[in-house]
Amino acid sequence: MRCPKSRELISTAFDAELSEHDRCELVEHLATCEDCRTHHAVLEKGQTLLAEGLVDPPENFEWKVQLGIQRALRERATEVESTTFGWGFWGRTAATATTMAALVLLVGSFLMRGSEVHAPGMASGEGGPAALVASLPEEGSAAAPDLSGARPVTDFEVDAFRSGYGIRTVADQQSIGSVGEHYPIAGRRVFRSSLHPYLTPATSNLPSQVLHLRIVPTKLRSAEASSSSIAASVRDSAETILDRRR
Amino acid sequence: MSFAEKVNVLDPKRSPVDRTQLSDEELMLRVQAGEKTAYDLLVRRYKKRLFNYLLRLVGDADLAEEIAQDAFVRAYVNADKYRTIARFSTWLYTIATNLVRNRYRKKKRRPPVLSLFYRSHDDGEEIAQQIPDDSPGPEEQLVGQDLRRIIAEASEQIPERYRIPFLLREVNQLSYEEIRAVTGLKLGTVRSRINRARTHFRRIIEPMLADPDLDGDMEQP
Repeated sequence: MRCPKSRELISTAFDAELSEHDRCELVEHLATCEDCRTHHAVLEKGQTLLAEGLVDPPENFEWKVQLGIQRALRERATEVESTTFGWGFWGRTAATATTMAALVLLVGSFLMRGSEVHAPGMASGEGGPAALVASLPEEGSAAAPDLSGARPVTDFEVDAFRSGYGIRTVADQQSIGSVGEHYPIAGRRVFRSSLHPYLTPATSNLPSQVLHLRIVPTKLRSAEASSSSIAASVRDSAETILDRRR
Repeated sequence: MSFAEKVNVLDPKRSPVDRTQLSDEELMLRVQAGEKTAYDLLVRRYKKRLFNYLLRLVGDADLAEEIAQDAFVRAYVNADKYRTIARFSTWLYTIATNLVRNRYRKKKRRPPVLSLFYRSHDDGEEIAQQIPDDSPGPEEQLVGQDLRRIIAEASEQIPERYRIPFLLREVNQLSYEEIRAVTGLKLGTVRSRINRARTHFRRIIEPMLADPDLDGDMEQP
């Protein structure tokens, strides 16, 4: 047997598909060919190391899949709705209005349920359901939130999720910030909140429905504060609570 | 799967139901019947293997994660199109592989970049070009690093057309028949491409395994 044939048989042997006849021929060849023996040995070790070298996907992988599924189903539902109506502009307008109405209802109901949770120092009624809904810009609007009256320290993007729903919600703003805007960034609905220094203790009051929280510093608003240190502090605090809850 | 078996799988009263004991295909039947949480288990089962397959295919962790998630989402959203005559894994890897191919196609429309491979005159096979590099040599770079990770990354150097069947076989343990179903190649082509990929793989990793400075419990071949 020549080496190219032997290499083929070695490959087949790794897949446990070698016939008895071929196995005998291969063994015979390997006994006399050092290069093929090396080929076999290197591949065998490489195969083992390759299998052992598998890395874990990021921790929030499953959560992102759930989110993607929810988003895809919503998009599909909207498409179906538009197609069913077939009203062109008016159909799309109706679909958008329906989505917005559902969002408002969802946010409102969730806020009502979570309204006992207040961040320390938050004035009564500040950031309540009515104020929040009124502050929501229309979907598609990329207008920056007005943070002038909020004494902001740092801007953060906050994604808060309720387990089992996978719906990004602004409802937690009462517990994690004082004011906020809800508008799409890169096709995703992201809640941007200007956070106060009391944010860290406030995360301990996260509503029980919230199981996932992602906090990302986006912009330093004041030279007095370090966005990364605040983010780290908030993240640690929130993650500890959420881990315990999970 | 017979009708009686299907009914049994879908029967919520069947007790006690340990879903971890259910096959992928049984879980998909439950997903189709509206039991959405059954899909979580499938994601848990396949996320690591799919992620690693894509990671070695595209060579970028963020992109691999994005494609893996996209594949899971598409598999779920199109769950009604799934038929139990095919294995769930085959279906999932087909979706993921097609997503990667679409990305490559889009890339090809962009301005061409310098290829690191040239075609040998002898057999038309792609061979890596030797480009001078002033950065620290492999010995210096590899000292103290995790050999397993290095070997896994080495698989990214296998030419793409060989790499897909190779990874499906080595990382995901798919059979030749399943790889044929995923790639759309003929069975003989699958076999020869895996063989060629292994030859490439051997050439790439042999110097690494022979390097005495590498850590790990390696013996000389």
